[in-house]
Amino acid sequence: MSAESPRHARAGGPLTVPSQPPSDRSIIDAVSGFINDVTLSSSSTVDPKDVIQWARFETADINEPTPEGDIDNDVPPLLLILGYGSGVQVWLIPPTGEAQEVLSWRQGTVRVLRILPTPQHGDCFASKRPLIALCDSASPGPAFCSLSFISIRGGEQVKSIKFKNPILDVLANKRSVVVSFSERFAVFDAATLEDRLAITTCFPCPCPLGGNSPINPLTLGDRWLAYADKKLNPSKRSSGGCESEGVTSYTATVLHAAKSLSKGLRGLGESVAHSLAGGRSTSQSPSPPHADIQQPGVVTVLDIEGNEDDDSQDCEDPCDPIVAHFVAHSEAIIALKFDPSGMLLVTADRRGHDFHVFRINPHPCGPSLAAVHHLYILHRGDTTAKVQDIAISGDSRWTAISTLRGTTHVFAVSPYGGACGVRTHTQPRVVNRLSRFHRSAGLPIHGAPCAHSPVCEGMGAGAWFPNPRLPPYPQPNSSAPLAQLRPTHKLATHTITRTSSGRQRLSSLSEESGSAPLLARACFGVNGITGRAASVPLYLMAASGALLHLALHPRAARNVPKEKISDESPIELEVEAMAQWPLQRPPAAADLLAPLPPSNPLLQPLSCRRCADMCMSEEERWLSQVEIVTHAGPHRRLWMGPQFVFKTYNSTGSNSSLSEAEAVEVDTSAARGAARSNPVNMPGARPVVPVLVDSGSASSLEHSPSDSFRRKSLLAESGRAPSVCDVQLREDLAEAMKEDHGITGRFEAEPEELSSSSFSSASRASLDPPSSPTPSCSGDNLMHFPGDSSSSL
Amino acid sequence: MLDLEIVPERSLGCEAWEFVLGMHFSQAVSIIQSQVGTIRGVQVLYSDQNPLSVDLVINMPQDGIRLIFDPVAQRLKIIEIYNMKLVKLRYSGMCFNSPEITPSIEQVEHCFGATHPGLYDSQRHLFALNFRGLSFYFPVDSKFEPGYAHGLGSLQFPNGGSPVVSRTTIYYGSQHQLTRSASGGRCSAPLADLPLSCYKHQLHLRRCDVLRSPTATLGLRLHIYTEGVRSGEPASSRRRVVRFGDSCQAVSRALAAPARLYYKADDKMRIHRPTARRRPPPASDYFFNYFTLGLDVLFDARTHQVKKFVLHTNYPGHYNFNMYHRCEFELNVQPDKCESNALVESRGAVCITAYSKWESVSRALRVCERPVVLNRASSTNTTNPFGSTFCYGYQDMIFEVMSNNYIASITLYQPEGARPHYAVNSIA
Repeated sequence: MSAESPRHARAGGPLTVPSQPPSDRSIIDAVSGFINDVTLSSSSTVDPKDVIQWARFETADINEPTPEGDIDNDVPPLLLILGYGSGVQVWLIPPTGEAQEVLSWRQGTVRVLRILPTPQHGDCFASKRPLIALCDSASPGPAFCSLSFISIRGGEQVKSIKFKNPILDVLANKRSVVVSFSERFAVFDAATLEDRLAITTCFPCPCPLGGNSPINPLTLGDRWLAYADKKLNPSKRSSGGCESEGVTSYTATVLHAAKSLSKGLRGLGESVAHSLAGGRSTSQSPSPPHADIQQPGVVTVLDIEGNEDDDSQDCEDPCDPIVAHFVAHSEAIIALKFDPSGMLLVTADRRGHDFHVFRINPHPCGPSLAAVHHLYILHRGDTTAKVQDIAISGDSRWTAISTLRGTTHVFAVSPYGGACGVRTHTQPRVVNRLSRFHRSAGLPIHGAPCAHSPVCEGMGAGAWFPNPRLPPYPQPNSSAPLAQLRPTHKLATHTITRTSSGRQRLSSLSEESGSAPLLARACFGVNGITGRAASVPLYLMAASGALLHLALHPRAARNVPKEKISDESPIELEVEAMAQWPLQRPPAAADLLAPLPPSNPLLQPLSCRRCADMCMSEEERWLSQVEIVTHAGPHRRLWMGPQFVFKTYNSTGSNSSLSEAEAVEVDTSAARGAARSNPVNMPGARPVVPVLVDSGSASSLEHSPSDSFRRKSLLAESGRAPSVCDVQLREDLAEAMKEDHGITGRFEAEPEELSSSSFSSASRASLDPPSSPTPSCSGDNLMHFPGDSSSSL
Repeated sequence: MLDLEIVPERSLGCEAWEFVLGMHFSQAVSIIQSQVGTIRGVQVLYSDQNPLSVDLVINMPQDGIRLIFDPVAQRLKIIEIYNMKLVKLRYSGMCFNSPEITPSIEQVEHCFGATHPGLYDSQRHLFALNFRGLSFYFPVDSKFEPGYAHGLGSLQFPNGGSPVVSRTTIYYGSQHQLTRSASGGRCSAPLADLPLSCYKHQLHLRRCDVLRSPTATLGLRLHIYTEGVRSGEPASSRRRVVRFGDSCQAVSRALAAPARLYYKADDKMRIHRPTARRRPPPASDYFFNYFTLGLDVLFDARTHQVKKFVLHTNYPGHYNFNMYHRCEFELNVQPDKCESNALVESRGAVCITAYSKWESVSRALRVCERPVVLNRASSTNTTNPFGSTFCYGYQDMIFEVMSNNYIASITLYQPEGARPHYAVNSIA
C-alpha cells in the first residue's frame, strides 16, 4: 500500500480520516491471543518534525459527559491532541465515524496545549470562549516559560502569563487552571485567570523521559488536586494509606516536618514573584537544618477551591485545605490520577512494578481525621518501566496504565475494593459491594479478617453505622493485568495503512529494555452502542500515529469449567480490535489556525439537549423520580425479628401513662387472621386511583413455612408454650406491668392488630372488584383502593 | 442474668457496653443486637398514630429493663429497671441487687449514702427515694399510709421487714417526676445532650435547611456537629452547603465520606419515563448514604454530579425505620397556585419540617395529584407489616407520606432539562 491512498481527505474542508476496519488477520490473532504482527508498511524515515512527541486525550465542552439518559445516542466524541516535533494537531473522533482535524499548525515546538472547559460562574471571557492554553517555543523570552491564553474563536490572545521557570504541564477543570513546574505548581482561577494559590513543596521527581525534562506528577479532580509531597507531616497524616511501605523513613521526618507543609501553602499574591521565580526568596523562612530530608512517595490531596461558599464564613476554625495526606509508595511517585468520580486515586512510583489504588475518605475537620483505604496493588511486573499515562474508565471499573515501553496494561478494579470477578465485571452496570447472597448470609463487609479479629468484636457494640474512617481498613487486593496491549510498530513507520491493530501479549520479563520511549496513551470510551453487554471501549494512541479502537470483553476465565463458574470466578479479557484511524500528519498538510471558521466543531454550541419529558404532562413527570430503594438494607430489618418485636399503643392520644398503655404487636407473619382495618387511611384522602408501585420480588410462596418456623423458634427461645402466641405475649406484657403498677383500666382499649400484606399468590389477584375490603383476606394490602373508588388500574 | 453497673444521671451497662442517657435509639438497638445471645425477646413500643407524642420504648422483659426514648429526638432519656429480680446491679463496684442481696431500703442507703427524705405517691402507693439522676421506688402497703404524714422515719414495718425496691430509674437532671404530664404518654424528663462517647467519629445533624429559589430546589444547608480533631474535644459545629450539580469531591469534602455507597440496581420507576428513554442505561447511578444525617445523595453515573437528595424522617412504623437518623429538615415552599389569590400570596411560604403532617401541608399547597403507592417489601421472603406509603409530587419534590399522615421522606430532584447548560455563546 502506498501513502497515496485516500486516507487523508481535504477537499477544501478540514482534514478528515475515515475509520478503517482492522485487518482480518488481527481479529483472528486476537482470538488466539498471541500475535506476531505483519508490518506491510514501508519504513521510510520521517522528518523529525513530523514525529509525534506527545499525545493527550482532552475533555472539553464538546465531549463533556452528559447525564445518563438525557440523549439517546449520547456517546461523546473523543478529542485528541497530538504534539509533533514541530507543531500540533487536534482531532475530533466520533465513536464510529470520521475523525476530523479541528486545529493544526506546523510552527514551533508546542509543549502544552489545553482546550479549557468553560467555567460555570463569573466568566470574564465569555465572548472569547473557547480558550486554549498554549505553551510553546514561539513566545518571546526563555523557552516554555510563558503561558498564553488564546481564543480560538477570534484568534486573539486574551492573556499571557510569564514565569521564570519552564512550564511542565497545565491541568484545567471548570474552576481552575493549574500550571506545574519542577517542584512547584500554581493555581489560577478558570473564570478570571487570576492567580489563587501556589505550592512549592512538591517532591523533586526524577526525570523519566530520557532525563531532559523533569515531571511533576499532579492530578486534578473537580475540586481536589493531588500531588507528590516533599515530606510527611505527622500532624496532618491521614490514617490508612500504603501500610507496607514507607515506614522506615517515618521516624526521620517526624521531628522536622511539623510546619513545613502549612508554610508551603500560600496565597500566590505574595509569593508568585518569589517562589515561582525559583530563587531562594525571603518569604521562605530559613529552613531548619534537617529540612532537606525528603521522603518519597508522600501524596497530599488538596482542596484548591477553598471556601468560596457562603457556608464557611462563620466557621469557628478555618477549614484546612488539605483533604488527605498519606504515604502511597516507598519510591518517588511519577504518576497520579483521579478516577472520574474523584474518590479513587491511582498512583505509580518510579519503578513501576506495582501501582496502587486508594480510596479517599475525607472528614470535614481536616486530613488527620480522614482515612485512605488502600484498595488494590496492581502488579505490572518486576522490570522497571516508567509510567507515562493512567486512564480510568467512567464507571471506575477499569484502569489502563501505559508505560514508556509502549505497553498499556489493563487492570480490573472496583470503586469499593475487593476481588474482581464475574459478578462485578461481566455486567454492563456497576453492582454493589455485597451481592444479595452476601447480605442474606450476613457476611461482614470486609470478609474474613474482620470476622475473626477481636478488634472487630470489641467494636461490635458501637459500630452501629458503618464508618469508613475507622479501622479496620480493608486489606489491599493484589491483581495482575488482564491484558497488556502493545501496538507493534516501528517508531519510524510512515505509512500504516493495513496493519497497526496488532496486539501482543507479553510477559513482563520479555519486554526489552533500553529502547527509546514509545508513546502510548489510553482512554476509555463510554459504553454506549457497542453490542455486547459488558464490553468496554478502549482507545489507544500508539507511537505509530494510529488511534486504535479496541473493545474489551470481560468474561469468565477460560480455565474454569463452565459448571464451576460462580460470582467470584476470575475473569479474563478478550480484546477485539474494532477500528483504527491513521492520524499521523501527512508531510504537507495545511495549517488550521485560530480564528477558526464558524463551522468548526469546537465552536459549535452544545447541541440543545432535547428533553423527551417535555411532552409529558407536568403531573406525570415526577413519577419516574420516585426512589424506592436508596441503600443496601440489612437482610433482616429490625422489625422482622426474631430478637425484636414491634408493638404499637392502640389507645391513641389517651393520657394514660406510658407504662400502663396497652400495646399491640406489629405482626410480621403472613398468615394472620384479621387484617388491618381496610383500606388504609389515606392521607388527604381523595377518591382517586393511586398508581401502584411494588418493590417486592415476585410472589414467593416459600416464605410461609420459613416464617412460621421463625415464629416457632422465637417462642422456643423465650421458652413459652406455643399456644396462641399473641394472647400469650400480651398477657406476659400485662403481667410484667402488673408487678409494679396498680391496675388502672388497663384492658379498656380494644386491641387493634396490624396485619401484614403477604405475597401469597392470592395477593396478586387483587385486581378483583374492590367492592368492599374483606378484612379476612390477608393479601389485599398489596393494592389499596382508597376511598370508595371502584375503578381498577 | 445481666450484671450491670449503675452510674446515676448517666448510664447503665457493663464493661463491654452501656446504655448512656442521650444515646440515639439506633445505637441502643445495635448494642442489644450485639448481645443477641443474652438479651432476647426485646419489644419496641411506639404509637402508630401519634409517633411524636408518645414515648418510644425498648422493653426487655426478660431482663426487666425498659429504655425510654424521646419520640422527637429519638434519644434515650430514661433507663428504667422495673423488675429487680431479673438483673444484678452494682454501684461503684458494690453489688446491691442480686438474687442473694435483696435491695431493701437499708441496702440502698448503705450503698448510695444518705439523701433527702423520700416522697410518697399516695395514688400509686409508691414511696420514692431520690438521688441525683437516680430514683428508687418502694411499694408500700396502704395500711402504712397514715403513718407517712410524719415522714419516713415514722413508717413502721412489722417484723423489721423493710420495703424492697421494686423499680429503679436513671435519668438526666436532679429530679424525676414519676407522674407524667397529661399530654399523653410522654415522660417529662430533661434530655441529655448526645454524650461524647456516642459520637463514634460520625457526623450528626442539628438542622438541615433546604435552599430554594421560588420554584426550584438549589441545595441543602446542613448544620452538622462532630467531635473535634482530638478525641474528647467538645463538639464542633459547622455549616455546610451541598447543591445540585456538586461533584463527589465537593460533597464528601463537605459531609465527609459517605457511610456507604449504594449502586442503584434496576430502576423500577423507569417505566414511567417517556418511551424513548425507558431503555436501561448502561451505567448505574449511585447513592452516598449518610445514615447519621438521615440523608442520601444520588449521583449521576456519567457526570458524577448530584442529581437528587433524599431526606428521611425515621418514624417508627416505616419500612426503613432504624436505618437512618431523623433529618430535621426545614423546607419553605412557595405555593405555585397563588397567582389567582392574592391572599394566599400574602401568607407567604409554607414551612414543612420533619414533624409536619401531610394533611396540613397538602391543604396549604393544594396538592391534588394522584399519589404513587409504595409497598416496600424486601426482596427476600418477608413482607411489610406497616402497609403502604403514598408518594405525592409537588414542584420538584416528592413527599412520601405514611398512613398516619406524617412525612416519611422527601425526595428533592433536579428536573431533567432544568440542568444548567452553559451553551457556548455564539458570536456569529
